Amino acid sequence: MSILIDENTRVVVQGITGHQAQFDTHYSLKYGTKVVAGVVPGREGQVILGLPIYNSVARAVSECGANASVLYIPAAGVKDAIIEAVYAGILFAVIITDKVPSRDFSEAFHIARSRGVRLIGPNCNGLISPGKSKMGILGNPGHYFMEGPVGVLSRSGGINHEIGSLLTRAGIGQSTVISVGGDPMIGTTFSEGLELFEKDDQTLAVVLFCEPGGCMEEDAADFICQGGFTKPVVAYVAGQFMENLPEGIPFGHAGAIIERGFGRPSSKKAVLAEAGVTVVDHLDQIPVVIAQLLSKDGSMTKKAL
Amino acid sequence: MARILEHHTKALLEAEGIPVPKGVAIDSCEALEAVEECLPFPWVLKALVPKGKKGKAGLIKKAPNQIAALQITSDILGLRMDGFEIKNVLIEEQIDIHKEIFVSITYDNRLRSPVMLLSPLGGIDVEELTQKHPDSVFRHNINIVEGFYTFQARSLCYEAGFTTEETKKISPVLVSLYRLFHRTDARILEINPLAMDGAGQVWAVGALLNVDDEALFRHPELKDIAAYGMERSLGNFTERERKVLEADMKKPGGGATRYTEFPDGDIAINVIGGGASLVVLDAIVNAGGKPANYSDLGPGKGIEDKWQALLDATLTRPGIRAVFSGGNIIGALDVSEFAKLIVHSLKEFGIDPQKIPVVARWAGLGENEARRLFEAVPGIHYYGSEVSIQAAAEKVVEILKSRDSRKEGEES
Repeated sequence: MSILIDENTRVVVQGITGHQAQFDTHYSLKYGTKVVAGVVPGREGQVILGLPIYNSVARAVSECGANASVLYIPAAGVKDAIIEAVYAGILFAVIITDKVPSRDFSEAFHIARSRGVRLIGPNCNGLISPGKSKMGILGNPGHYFMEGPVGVLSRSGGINHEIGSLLTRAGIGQSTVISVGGDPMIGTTFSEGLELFEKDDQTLAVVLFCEPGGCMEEDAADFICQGGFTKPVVAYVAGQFMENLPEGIPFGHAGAIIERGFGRPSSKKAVLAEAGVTVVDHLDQIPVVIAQLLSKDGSMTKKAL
Repeated sequence: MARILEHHTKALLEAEGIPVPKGVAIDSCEALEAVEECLPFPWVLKALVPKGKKGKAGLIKKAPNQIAALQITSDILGLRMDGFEIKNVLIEEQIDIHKEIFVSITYDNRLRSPVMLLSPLGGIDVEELTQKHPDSVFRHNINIVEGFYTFQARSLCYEAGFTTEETKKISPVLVSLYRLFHRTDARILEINPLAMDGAGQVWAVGALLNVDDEALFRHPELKDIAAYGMERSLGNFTERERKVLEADMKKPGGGATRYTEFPDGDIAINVIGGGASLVVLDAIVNAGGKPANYSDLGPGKGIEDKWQALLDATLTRPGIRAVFSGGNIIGALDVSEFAKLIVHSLKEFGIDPQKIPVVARWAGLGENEARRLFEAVPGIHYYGSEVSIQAAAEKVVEILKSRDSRKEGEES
């Protein structure tokens, strides 16, 4: 099945005139994603990359049946753009934009959630359900991924290409690979992603790429302990070097910060391990451990691969 | 998060109608004389640095008279706290404190909402408060769309055990604090202590405000008082750190550039990707190497200029003995464009990869061309997508170590 996106997802690109938007849309179309329209106020009637352009998301929904949106809107306009998508009836929105003010995201998130709309990001590079569809930067080009049984949730978009590539070269495919976003506040957290993967028949195991800061890993461990996720999980926790530096300095993503005694990689590793997650120290171990877990599970059938 | 020094925070609080102790910021002992004319003793002196926990660090002192004030000021000025030089001291009237209250507003990342914490146990730091006295901390999750109202502030005060008289004084302050938090795009606003004097009047005595760097574009009024990017440094900026920050701010809409120097390192790091940068640093440290810096660059407009600024900084750092350059497998841009800039910069800064080992791991879009460009330079160790970013980063330490042991062998 895969989660969130598949061959039935009809994507509208908000802010399609931007450089990154066109770059990714080109690769998405090539991959087979059903991109149906672009939205740029004032450009209705034009055609970009063969796609019709509309003045509003509402028009893209009514004219082309778009049900998902990927946003390349400059940070200052993201709040408005998310709410526009929500009001237009979009059910799923991916926010690629970095540097979105916290207050704006918080407001947009609550409006989206109150209307049942799921958000991914901001500050993410999208997601891919190999063989079916991709949104955002992930999967430019698509050959680092192949269809299969492993779900991936990562706080780093780029590292998804590493994990995808390592798994694919080992002959292990993926169900859906998601860049959840590098900000402290994001639309879909690890535990919320795990909840979706639990219900997905195609997904037999999940890989988590974790970073310092916040409580997503701890929450995921809690969720697993409470029985919310019952499939094998492999986790890699980056940022150990930060433990020897003063607190309060973010490294990399805005969310990767140890502050007020919280967010240490060592404590994240410990809680994940306690929850039964296999914590690996090297990216190269991921496919090895996944193969072991799946064969132990008896689920590494030829069909699944 | 951009930190705002306490005297500026106090001015913002005062403008919001929240009582603050009268105070003056000074930068020298000579300035004390003028303060005496407008502020009666006793005083409280606080070091002005963009860091919390000043009390614990001994940087908040009481001065009953001029002699004590002079002694404290001369002791504090020029000291360093976590690498930051103390250039200013805030002098405040001493409030007659009868009760200390703790208030903070931050974002709860789990709820994606602002949350207000209130505790009758003020005056101790937040870690100690939440870890040792969790039952004394009361919270209200704020609905950011609907706002925060006086009745909610009142309920929170009653819940925390304050009397009606106290609640009448505290609750309007809580509403004003949220208004300031919201209006300034704050990430943290903490008043500790919010003090109550003998007459029942409340005062914001200790104040900490961090605002959202990503929202500074709509706050011209904060531009001169918010220390943008400061939290990413291990102390006052070095010349190279300042230059990278300037390049980053020149094109604020594009990808974020991060550059933090470590004092004793000798491996220059220029990396793309937030996650990749953490993996690379861990790999090098775990293998026994010493990174000279941290770096990261996100994709976006103007990325070539920012990348060049990072190359300029990392490659001109004195004492560099090796270079690691690369990123995760990249799908956002053509890596061969970066390969060109790197090869050119190595030449420009006189770094000969046959003498200073260079490991380049550039994979993804444009990989074949990048491989050709790197492999054309003798001494560059190139890896593509066939080797993981972590394994590639370990190579630079391996090469450096084998070179060192060979040298030792030659010398002995």
